[in-house]
Amino acid sequence: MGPVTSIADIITVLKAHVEKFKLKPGEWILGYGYDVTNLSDGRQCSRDDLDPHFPDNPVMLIHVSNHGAVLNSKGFAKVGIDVTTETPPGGMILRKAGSNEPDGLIMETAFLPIFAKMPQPSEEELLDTLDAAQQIYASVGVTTCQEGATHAKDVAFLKKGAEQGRFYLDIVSLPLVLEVPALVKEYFPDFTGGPKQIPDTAKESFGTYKNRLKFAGIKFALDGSPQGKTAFWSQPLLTPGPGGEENWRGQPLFPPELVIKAVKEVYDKGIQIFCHCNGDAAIDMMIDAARAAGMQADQDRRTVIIHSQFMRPEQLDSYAELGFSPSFFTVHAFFWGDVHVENLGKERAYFLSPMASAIKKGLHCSNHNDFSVTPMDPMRMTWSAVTRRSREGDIIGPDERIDVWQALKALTIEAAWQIREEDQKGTIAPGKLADLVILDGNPLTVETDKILDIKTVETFKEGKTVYRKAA
Amino acid sequence: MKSLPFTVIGGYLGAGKTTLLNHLLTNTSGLRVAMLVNDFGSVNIDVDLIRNHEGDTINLANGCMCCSIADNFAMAISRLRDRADDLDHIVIEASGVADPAKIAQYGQMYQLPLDGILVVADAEQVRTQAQNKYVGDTVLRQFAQADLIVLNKTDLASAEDMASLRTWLTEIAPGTPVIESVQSQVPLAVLLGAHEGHAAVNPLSDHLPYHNHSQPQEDHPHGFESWTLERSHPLNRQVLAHFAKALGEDIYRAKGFVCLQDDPDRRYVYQQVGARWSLEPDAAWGDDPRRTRLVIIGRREATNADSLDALLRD
Repeated sequence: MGPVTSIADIITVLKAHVEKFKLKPGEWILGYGYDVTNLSDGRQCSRDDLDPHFPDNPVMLIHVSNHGAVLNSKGFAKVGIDVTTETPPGGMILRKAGSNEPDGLIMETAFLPIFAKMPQPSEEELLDTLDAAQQIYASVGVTTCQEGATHAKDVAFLKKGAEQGRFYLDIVSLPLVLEVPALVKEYFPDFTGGPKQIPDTAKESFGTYKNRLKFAGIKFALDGSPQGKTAFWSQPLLTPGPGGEENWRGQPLFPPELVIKAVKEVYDKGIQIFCHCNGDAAIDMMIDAARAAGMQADQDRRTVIIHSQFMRPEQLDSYAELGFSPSFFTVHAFFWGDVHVENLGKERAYFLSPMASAIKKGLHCSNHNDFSVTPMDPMRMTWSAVTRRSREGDIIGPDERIDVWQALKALTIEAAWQIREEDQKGTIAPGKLADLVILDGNPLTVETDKILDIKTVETFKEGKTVYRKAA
Repeated sequence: MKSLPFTVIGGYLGAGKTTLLNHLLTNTSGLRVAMLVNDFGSVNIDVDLIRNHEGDTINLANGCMCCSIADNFAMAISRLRDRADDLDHIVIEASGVADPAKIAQYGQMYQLPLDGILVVADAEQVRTQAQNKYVGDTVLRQFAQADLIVLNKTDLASAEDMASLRTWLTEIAPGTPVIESVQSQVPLAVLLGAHEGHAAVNPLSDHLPYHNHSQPQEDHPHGFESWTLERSHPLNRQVLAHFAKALGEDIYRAKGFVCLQDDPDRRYVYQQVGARWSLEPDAAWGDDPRRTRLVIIGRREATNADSLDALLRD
């Protein structure tokens, strides 16, 4: 749905969509990325907000988590939810105050079976969303976007988008390791190796832009998320697991034997590895796998450990030894810092994304945003790395705060280094690309909390304006 | 919607899940089983059995199908629910590090009845796996969640190891039946619950190439035996509840139709796997004779018809 900040915005965007695609009565109007925390209205969007504007079309605003949606009355009729529908176990149907009438929002098991049956947007419709998607980035000054876990079908989609010239920002894609067999089958039909092997020539598919699309490396993921308690830690949480388990420390997504084999194969074939690890046990698994593969810092492999949120201090030494580079997720301090303290205690929670310690060890650290888990907002990322302040006002690890200059480097030159583009991007210097942003305030000089208010005036990609704030 | 029971099959990497799934898929004797797997590549279906591929689904000539969960369990389940009339049973493969109970919970959220959780173990490796610093707790949790444990690859473990393994399993999963197998060869009647009009409701039947209760096989770690109980007068619910709890861990399955004293016109379906049991109302008896008929399957010579008969007495 793009950058909407109110229910009125949602309606405007949806109306424009109906107009653009000339939707007939009865056809679904689908919106993605619905998130009440982005709405200034301070309440959920309800069917009553939508009904007057869309009396003849079913509307579904899919929640940012993809685990829920807001429907209008036509939508409810179409999926068969009404006043008599019982809320299924594990689900939620928001009801109107004092009645059993569905209000709009449904979540989890009330939603997922319905979602599974929804008509899927056509490729053409999805291609048409690429402009709006890029505007989300361009409007906050981002000119290189990373697609952090690309499925095989989305590799094909991105390639198509590139071929059609739809990208005006640089798109960096990281195909998922699980999809590698499918990708090998599709792009290397004559390859005769085993199902868990990669052709020697596969690395040629990585590292260069073609029509603004580049495949940088292969993405691994070894655990889940800390706020969902599906990350993998070496020590139990202080609170029960997601299913009420005692002594819960999460689980790995894959057996270590498989991780060791897969890391070795990708490493041996000369392809850069990006690995999602949130908990220290997942990080241990990756360290073991890298050692087993023979990885060392002086090889300059730039293995990026995405998130690296809950490290143990001594793991930073292993990072230095193996040449791992952390990409931290510092806005967690704001969005979930208080939750992390509750689950992990102060000592472990305060070492969340330990940017200051990592910099002291000489590591290249970037700072990322897992859009759309958190809003695409580089100024909030900067502010968060500098203050580490939670929603409740706690400072989540005062020792790990960094200065604004370091915070900006983590968004620019260090991020460019991790994808091997530091010679082209990340600083302003002769010979580098004119990927520039004009801000209406200087983050280095304004009062720290005012960093959050800094807005983008104009964004340039290689000298061309790709966003300009409305006058 | 038609009731479509599902079974979850869990167990750590290398335990023999895939072999078990393959064996199941090719020996269903008329039962139409849909199998949800993580990775097509791992299930090596005999090409002669494949009728066609349809996107994420392989249809087999015997009415079974194999579907890839890919990245969307909800979508896969939803597709199967739409085809409920063509199916009798769903089998879901849990990944090696998944908690099968979570998958069971998830299936139940979609209003599917849970037939049971089977966890497969590698007799040679399981104790090492249970001590692994990364996955040890997961492996132990999988056993604690099992209704039935299939202790596989027993041919690779010494007699001495097997003895201590059996003791160890009674400690980590007290009361849970353990079936010993080689190459995951376990009869369908043990793996899946009752289905009207299909072999699985019958005693171990002769379609099973590997085990036949009437022909003891010396090369197998242990055999299976089935017993049948019949009652022509309606049963008291409490008697049945007592029966279910008294079967013990040498009995793997019990299933059949029940005629109840408090609702004699309606047929009830009784299903038990390990300690998990259920009694669900079914259709009216109609013209069929109103009688209780239960099939009990367990370790060979674990019990006898008289002892079982005594358990079902008012």
